[in-house]
This record gives sequence, structure tokens and C-alpha cells, in this order.
Amino acid sequence: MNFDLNKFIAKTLAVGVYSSMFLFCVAIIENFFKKSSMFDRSFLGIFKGLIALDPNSTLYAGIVILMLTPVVRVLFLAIGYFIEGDLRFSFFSFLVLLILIFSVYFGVH
Amino acid sequence: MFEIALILMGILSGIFGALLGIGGGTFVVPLLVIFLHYPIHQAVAISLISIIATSSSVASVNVYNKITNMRLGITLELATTLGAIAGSFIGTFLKGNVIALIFSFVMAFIAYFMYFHKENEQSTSVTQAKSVYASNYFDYALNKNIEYDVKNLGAGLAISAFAGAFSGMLGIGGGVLKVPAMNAFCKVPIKVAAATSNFMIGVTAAAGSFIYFGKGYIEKPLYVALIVLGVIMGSKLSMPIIKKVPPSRVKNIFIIFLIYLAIEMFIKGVK
Repeated sequence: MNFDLNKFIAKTLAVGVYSSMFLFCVAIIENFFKKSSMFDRSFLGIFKGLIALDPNSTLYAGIVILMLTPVVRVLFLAIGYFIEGDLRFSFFSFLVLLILIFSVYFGVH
Repeated sequence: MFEIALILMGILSGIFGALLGIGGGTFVVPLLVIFLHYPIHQAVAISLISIIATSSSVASVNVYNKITNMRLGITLELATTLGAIAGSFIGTFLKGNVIALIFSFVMAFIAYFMYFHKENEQSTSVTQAKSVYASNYFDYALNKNIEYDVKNLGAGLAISAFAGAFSGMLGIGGGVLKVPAMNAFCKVPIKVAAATSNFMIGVTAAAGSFIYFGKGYIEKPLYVALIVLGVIMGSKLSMPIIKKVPPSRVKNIFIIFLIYLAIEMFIKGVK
């Protein structure tokens, strides 16, 4: 089976954007039926609220998915280059991933 | 009513950004701050989220069509993400009026640059030794395969770090700096430069947005969603507009609008 890194990365980006757009639309509909009773903005809190159809939790889930889309893209690029045997760019992708994890860490703390 | 205004702002930002080729982010912050009196730090946070959405949406098409040079993109991302984190930290510590002043100067520079900039269609030939960044793409307008190589990577890295810092601080994409730099210094064809810059912008904006998210600047998620949906709609709506009205014809009108926004942001800054 031929592995096409370009197609894989393109699909990753599209899935990330459309998933968050879908959640935004769901949350806007939820907003018409109930008031948000959130608030625990941790990842676990957002996930619990999403399951409970809480509008603000659904919106935050969409925002988090959108923010994580480029991070996942960098992770898949690191893996993809590794599969292709392109170790230099796999390493560069991994370094960018570490910088992004640093950003997530300082964002959360 | 305010919600409808937010969607309209998003749509306008998406259309203006696409027509000028500088991304919707450049317009989101000033439109929110000037017309809806939105706090600037929250406007920057919303803008960064909307940049991730538009960048990822456009990048998925460009990556699929192999116009984006992903090797060049991931290399320059090393510099641009570090710049974005530094810029975001600085931005969250600066007062709103200082950010407004910096924004007004950057917008004035963008307007000046858009007016005088001429794109360099020449690219470096790859008849001699190829670097690891050498690539090719099919140009549908010219109906031929274009081969190119990348030069002066150091200059590209320096400008990417600079652009990343401005992105994190002001909530703009930074493509207005990166695209001409890649074209002029790295000798990358303009279409590849634009696609690669767009590819990088999502990661740059994500790096900055985590800092703003963590510091609590994304308080009203519904407003973020409405702006993001508006910007996405605007960038999609701009495609038929671009086909009917060439961007070069409306460029000067938008440049005047940019100058107006720069003046308004300056007034906000000195108040």
C-alpha cells in the first residue's frame, strides 16, 4: 500500500476543521433549548459537559478541537516522515511538537 | 442582535482578508475593537482561533494539491512557533492601548506594503545541485510543472520568528510578512510561498491561542464560534467574488479601509 503523506495531512486538517464547525452548529442549536450550567473548563469538564449536551461545553469542545488540529497535524507529520524514512524532517516536526506542548503546558498552568 | 453583528463581522473579515490575500485575521481584531468595543486581548484570542480555522481549511486543499512545500513549512515553523509563544506572553502583559498602538502601526505598514509591493514571479532553477527543499508543483494557470529550489533559509527563519511574534501579540496571521519574504529571499514561487505560509499560520496561531486560552481570554465561547463560522463563510463567499472582480481592481479600496482602521486603532491607543 502506498502511503501518501500529503493526502493524509490534508484529511487530518479537514476533519479537524469540519468536526469543530459541526460542534459549533450543534451548540448554537443547543443554546435555543437550554442555558449552559457549565463551569469546569478542564478537558475532563468539557468532555462531561459535551456528553450532557451543555451548550458552552460543546462550544469549548469545538474550540479545543480547532486549537489541537495543527498540533495533531505536526504529530502526524513527524510520524509520516518517519515512515517515509525522512529522519531529518521527522526530527524537525518532533521539535515543533515539543514547542507546541510547551505552549499548551504554559497555557494550562 | 449582537450575535448577528458578530457573524457579519466574521463574514466581512473573511471576504476582505481573502480579497487582499492577507487572511481574515488582520480585520477581526480592529473590527471587533472599533465597531463592537470588544476588549482587545479577547479580540486577539478570537482572531487567533479564527486564523486556525481558515488556515487549516485552505491548507487542506493546498497540501492535497501538493502546492505547499511541507518540508520548508515545518522548518520555518521551528522559528515561527517560538516567536508566537514569545509574542503571546508579551501581548498578555501589555496594556490594551499599547497593543492598539502597535496594531495601528502594523496595519499602516501592511497598507503601505500592499500598495507598493510587486510579486517576484522568478524562482530559482534546479539545474544544479538540489537542496532537500527542492520541489515542484503543477501551475494550472500556466498549464505546466514548475520546479524550484529554496535559498537563504536563514533569512526565512529570521522573518518567520518575527512574523510569529507579531501573530501572537496582535492576533494576525503574519502571512503578509512571510509570503513576500519567502518569495524575495528564499526564491520560492509566489503560489508556493502563499500556500506554505498558510500551512504554517495554523500552527503559529495555535501556539499563541493556548496562552490566551490558559489566561482566560476566551470567556464567551459562543462569540468565538459565531466569528469563526462567519470568517469561514466569508472566505468561501469570496471565491465567486474573486472570479468576477479581480482582487487587483478592489485592492486600493481595501487599502484605504486598512488606513482608516489603522487611524481608528491609533485613536483608541492614545485615548
